[in-house]
Amino acid sequence: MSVKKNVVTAVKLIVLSLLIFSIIYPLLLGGVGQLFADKASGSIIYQNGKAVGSRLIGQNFVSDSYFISRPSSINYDASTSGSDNLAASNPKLQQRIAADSMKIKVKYQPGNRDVPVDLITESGSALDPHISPEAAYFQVSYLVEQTGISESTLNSLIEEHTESKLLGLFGESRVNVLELNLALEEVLD
Amino acid sequence: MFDIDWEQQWTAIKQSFIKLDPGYLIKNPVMFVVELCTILTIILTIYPPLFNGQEPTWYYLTITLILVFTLLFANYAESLAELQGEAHADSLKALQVESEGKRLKNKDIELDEITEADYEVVAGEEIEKGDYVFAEKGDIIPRDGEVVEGSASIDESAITGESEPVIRESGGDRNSVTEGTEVLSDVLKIEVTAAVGESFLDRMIDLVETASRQKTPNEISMTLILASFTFVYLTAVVTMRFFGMYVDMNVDVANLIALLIGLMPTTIGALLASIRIAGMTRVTRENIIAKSGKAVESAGDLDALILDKTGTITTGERIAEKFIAVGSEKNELYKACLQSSYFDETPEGRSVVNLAHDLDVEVDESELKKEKFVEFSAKTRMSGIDLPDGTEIRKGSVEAVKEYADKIPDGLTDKAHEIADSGGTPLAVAVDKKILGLIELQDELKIGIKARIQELQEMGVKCIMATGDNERTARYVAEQAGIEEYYSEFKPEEKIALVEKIQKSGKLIGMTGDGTNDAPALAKADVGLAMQAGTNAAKEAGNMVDLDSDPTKLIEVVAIGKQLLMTRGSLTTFSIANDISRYFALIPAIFSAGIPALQQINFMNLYSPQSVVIASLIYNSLIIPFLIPLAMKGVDYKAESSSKLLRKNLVIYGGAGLIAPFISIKLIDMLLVMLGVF
Amino acid sequence: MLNIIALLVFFLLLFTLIYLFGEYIAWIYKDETKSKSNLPNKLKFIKKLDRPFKFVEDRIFSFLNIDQNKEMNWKQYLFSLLIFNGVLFIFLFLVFKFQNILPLNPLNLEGMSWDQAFHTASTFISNTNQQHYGGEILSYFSQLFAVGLAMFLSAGTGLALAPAFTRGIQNEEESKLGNFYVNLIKGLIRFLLPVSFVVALLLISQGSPQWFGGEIIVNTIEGVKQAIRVGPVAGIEAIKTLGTNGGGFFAANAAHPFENPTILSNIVLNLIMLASPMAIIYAFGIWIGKRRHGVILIGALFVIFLGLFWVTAAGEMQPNRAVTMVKGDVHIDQSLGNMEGKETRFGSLLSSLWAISTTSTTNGAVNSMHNSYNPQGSVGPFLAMAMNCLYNGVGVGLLNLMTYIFICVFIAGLMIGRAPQYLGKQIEWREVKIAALIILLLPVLVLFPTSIAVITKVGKEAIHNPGFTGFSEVLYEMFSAAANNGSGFEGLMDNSVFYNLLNGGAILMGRYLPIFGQLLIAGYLSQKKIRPETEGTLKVENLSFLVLFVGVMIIIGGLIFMPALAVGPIAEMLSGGM
Repeated sequence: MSVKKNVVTAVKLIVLSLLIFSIIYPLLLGGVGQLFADKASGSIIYQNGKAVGSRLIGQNFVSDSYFISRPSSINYDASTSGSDNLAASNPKLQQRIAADSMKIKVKYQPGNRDVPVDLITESGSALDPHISPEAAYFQVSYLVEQTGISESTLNSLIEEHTESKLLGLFGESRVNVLELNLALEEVLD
Repeated sequence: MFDIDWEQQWTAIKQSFIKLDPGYLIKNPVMFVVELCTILTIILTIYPPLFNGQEPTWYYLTITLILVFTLLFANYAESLAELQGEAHADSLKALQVESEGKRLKNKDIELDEITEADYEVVAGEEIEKGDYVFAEKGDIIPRDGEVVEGSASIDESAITGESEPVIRESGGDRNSVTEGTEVLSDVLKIEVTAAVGESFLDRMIDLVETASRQKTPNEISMTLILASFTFVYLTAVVTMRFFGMYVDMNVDVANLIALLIGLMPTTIGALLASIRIAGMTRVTRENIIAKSGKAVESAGDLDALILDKTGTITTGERIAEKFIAVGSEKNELYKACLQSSYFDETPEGRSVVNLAHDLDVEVDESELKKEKFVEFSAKTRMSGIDLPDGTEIRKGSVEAVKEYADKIPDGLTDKAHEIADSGGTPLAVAVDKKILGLIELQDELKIGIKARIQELQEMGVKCIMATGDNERTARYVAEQAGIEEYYSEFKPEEKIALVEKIQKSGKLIGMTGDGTNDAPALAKADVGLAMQAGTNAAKEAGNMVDLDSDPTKLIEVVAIGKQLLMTRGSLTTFSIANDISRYFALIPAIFSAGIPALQQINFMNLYSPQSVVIASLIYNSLIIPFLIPLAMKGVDYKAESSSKLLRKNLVIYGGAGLIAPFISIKLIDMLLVMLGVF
Repeated sequence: MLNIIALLVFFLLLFTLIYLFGEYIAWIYKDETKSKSNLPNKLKFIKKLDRPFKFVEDRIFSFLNIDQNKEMNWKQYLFSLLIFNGVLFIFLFLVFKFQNILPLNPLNLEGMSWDQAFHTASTFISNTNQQHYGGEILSYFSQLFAVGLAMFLSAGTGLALAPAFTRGIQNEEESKLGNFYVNLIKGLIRFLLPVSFVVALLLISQGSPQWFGGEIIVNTIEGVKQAIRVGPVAGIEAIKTLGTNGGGFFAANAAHPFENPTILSNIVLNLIMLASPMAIIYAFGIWIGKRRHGVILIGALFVIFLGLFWVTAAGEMQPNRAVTMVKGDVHIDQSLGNMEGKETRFGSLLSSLWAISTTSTTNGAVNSMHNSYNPQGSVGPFLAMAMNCLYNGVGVGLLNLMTYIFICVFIAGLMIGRAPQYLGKQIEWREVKIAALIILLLPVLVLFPTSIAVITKVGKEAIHNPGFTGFSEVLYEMFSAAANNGSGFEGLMDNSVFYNLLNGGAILMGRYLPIFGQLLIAGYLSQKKIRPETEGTLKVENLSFLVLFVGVMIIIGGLIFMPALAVGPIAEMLSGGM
């Protein structure tokens, strides 16, 4: 084929591809995706008819009466994403972790208890909606003090919201912090 | 084997120095880079600040010296192989004595009319192509040519090493004569077919010499791969200096060179040429002249061989195996057999006499007179003897004797067929036109041929037999020799079609031939081994010539070709596997200043960074002369299937390549420390 | 123990998927590759799909005015491919540069600088998807009409090369390799589009959005406004993974909960990421009538894959060094391993598995941040890319493999005393020359740019982390570009004219030079006769060949980067524990 014919074919093919892959494919997917309407639009959680967050996107909880999420260099600003990418050897990471663990120590008074590592490490997306169940249980005694809810109620809340490994094999068990806090709020109310 | 030719060694050593010329070394990219590195270390020795060298001068000097030795060893390996190859060319050259020829003044003169007046004695080089020369007993043939008239026995031992004289005669497939051979009896009229410097001998010398200089196609590919690897390692090593800068470390250039030399495939780079030359020399030692290195490599790669039956698979001499009486007394037949062959000097005749003696047959020898012996003639197709009492005793092919006889016993034809079915040839014996019985002649398989064919077929080289014999004989011999595919009643002219047919299926094919009508097929075949005893046309067409004229040697050539390729492949594997040890030994050493933590991968626990570098370079240098014998002798070769061969060579050479440097470098390191160098 | 069972289940699923994809792809290109193998009986039903697909394809061909029977030789094939990719490049460049004036830009995002647009266009046409930007700066138009489009078309281009190369081997003294457009369109319509659609639906069911609004603003229970970016994520995520693209919709790539919401979505994405390039190697075995050879090739690479995975997983199960250095009387429960840069739902194991998967292919999507890996953990991804991404990309992975095969076959052939030959085709100096040059390309494209970057001011300024890790950042970036992987060690501030041009150039060379070389080899091979196999022929289906192949891959592919790695991750690993 000549240059000209090749170029014409290429241009035509790209136009056609735009139609198929950039218009039909996403729209059709969006349409069929309505089978999971809630999920296709961001898994938004409503409380009293108002959107309070996405089930999948973590939030920064600063109030003393909520479970806290993992550290996030972007403070769970979901208009962007991505962690700080600090290498293990980077003094900045060592400083940050030292500072965070000190804060945890001061706030939660762990005593002999181990601090779960996820509470002092940032997730890859910096939007991690989960913490480990251990990290949730770790906060219980503090929250008992702060909220007055009994330890067993909190424990059962955590248990309720613990998602186990897939098929008991893959991934890690975890607790969705936003959902846990919403449940906590309900108990409080 | 063990007596050392000191003169040759001395020349090889001299050559090693001459070959340091960069213009020469550039043909071998690996060694060329080594040479460049050497120049760098020389500069470092003289003026270390140039590359910010921090090491003492003796260190650079030592490295320089080891590198020079590496180069010399590589050159020595090549020179030695070349010299051994040239030794054969020299022996051929010795044959090129100043000869004289008897040039005929008149080309049309009949052979028996030639007198001294008809020719002039001229120096060999004055004879031109197209001239006619006369040769008689005691003359040396002045130039290659074809016999136009006459028949003579000629001593070709100078070229072939075969002391048995050969017959050269006009017409047919035995009309070529070679420069330097001697006429033993009779006279010949010869047309000179080669110009000065173009005779068989000249070309053979030329071929032996150039074959050792020219790279084979496969070797060119190998060189390309090695060049690519060299460049890759060069990239990896050169950039290390910049990486060092980033971590504020001055990586010493001499140490980088040591790493580069360690990683580059210097072993195979140094031995590549000697492997080829040694392979070619092995061919020459078999008394075969290969016209190119490519032909030898192709031989290793053949898929199929077309083998002639007679002379290749069988000895070609038919031997009397049995006397079979048909409708007569056994003793009567035995006697007739002996009588008929008593003066028969053909191998068949002799074998009949021998068999008769074995059977203790006795005849009255006084009855047998030599002058009464009836020679075989094309007309009667029989030979025999007449007894004094007039009794005619005849033997000959069954058909001929049947025609001659007037009494044919029952069952004769059946018996004759039976013999043919078992691959034999029946001869009928008649006394006074009455057939007494048959002699069974058997063509014997060459000793060991069956095993060789078996070996070849195991290696995937298919053997195909082609013979002019009838179907029955062909089938029998093929079965005996373990050959599946055979062609009977095959004419030499059909060979070309067969070669083409096999090639069309994508296979590489080898064959032998001696006749003019073999020439097209010899030329077409991927490997065509022509017989020195054959015609010039055949010798021109083939890409190898066997001076001993033994077609079985085709099998030898296949083995040599395979061995050549295997040696190259195995040493490459060895050389590349060597790399692993260098990473563990040299990288910690080189970065020792900037990244002391890397010492953890120095699990060989070598003494110091300097000792590592020196030990590694010494290993690198010494491994070359150490492997020269292997390169020259070729790796051990046994006929096995490809899977087994691959596994074996991978384990031996890959394994050795992995382990040898670890052990050697550690030992050299210990030795250096013991000697107090470090 | 549980981890081992999990891995076994995963690999079992993987091999099943390779089998299905492989047989299916082999069927798609049966005629184009002159294959004589048929679908296994239990998969015969696939044939029913032929008619609807053909209906669509015929319409496309007639619209494009392409004669399906008109085949191309290697030059024409390469020419069509280059022109098609060239036109696509110009289109992408313009979209990225001028997205500010294009529609579907609800957030009024800026157009890219020229150098970034160059880098971004290069990276997407070449199936590399190295991103010198966070996904959030692209408008929906750019995401859909440039990135989404290029993800399909670059994967299709790669896929179209596999049957053409195979034809080169199958042909006997014939120069035609097939029609580029036919191979491209068949691959798009029959494989990439339908499979992406299914995967995308699955992702939506897991929570990946397919939504065309811009941001959803929520008021959190603490009364803070949170702006949540959504978009047509699922569709792009599917083709991004299936087509070994790897460019994330979001900056956090597949670590982002919208791209990869659940463990199930992670497993599915990880599976198809590996299966698509591996399946083509399996399909190659089918095309040449030696399924076992395909299995051996996949197996050889899998041995290396497992080795690398072991190194990385072992490293990541260890605590992050920075955490272990925490002083005072705080005791930290480190049982989860190194969680810095990792998502809670995936943990160390699935993150390590993904890290090696994404670098063993040219995918480059990440579900955890490699820069925050322990040094030992990061050695695995480095080495995987050093071996030119093992399984490499869709289609081109096969071609990449062939380079090593030719070198390997050459040495192996000699070792058994034969002139080197592969599948009946003689490998001579012309093929060897090109293979040798291609082998050379990766070290040159990685090590020289790295040298330039680490000794120049402009290069050094961009380095984020100090010490050896800083060096690793640069080295990783160069690997990621030249090997067309696209993953990031991140950290490196790479959006500068310097890095955009350096990486953009390496990406284009790393993609198109090998394609050029391999098509040329296919052209040479197609002219040759096929020598029938005998006892003496090199068997490419046995264990010895596998061992040799692994050896060649490691020594020629991996270890030449040892000196460079010694200054980066290895130095760091040895300098301070894990």
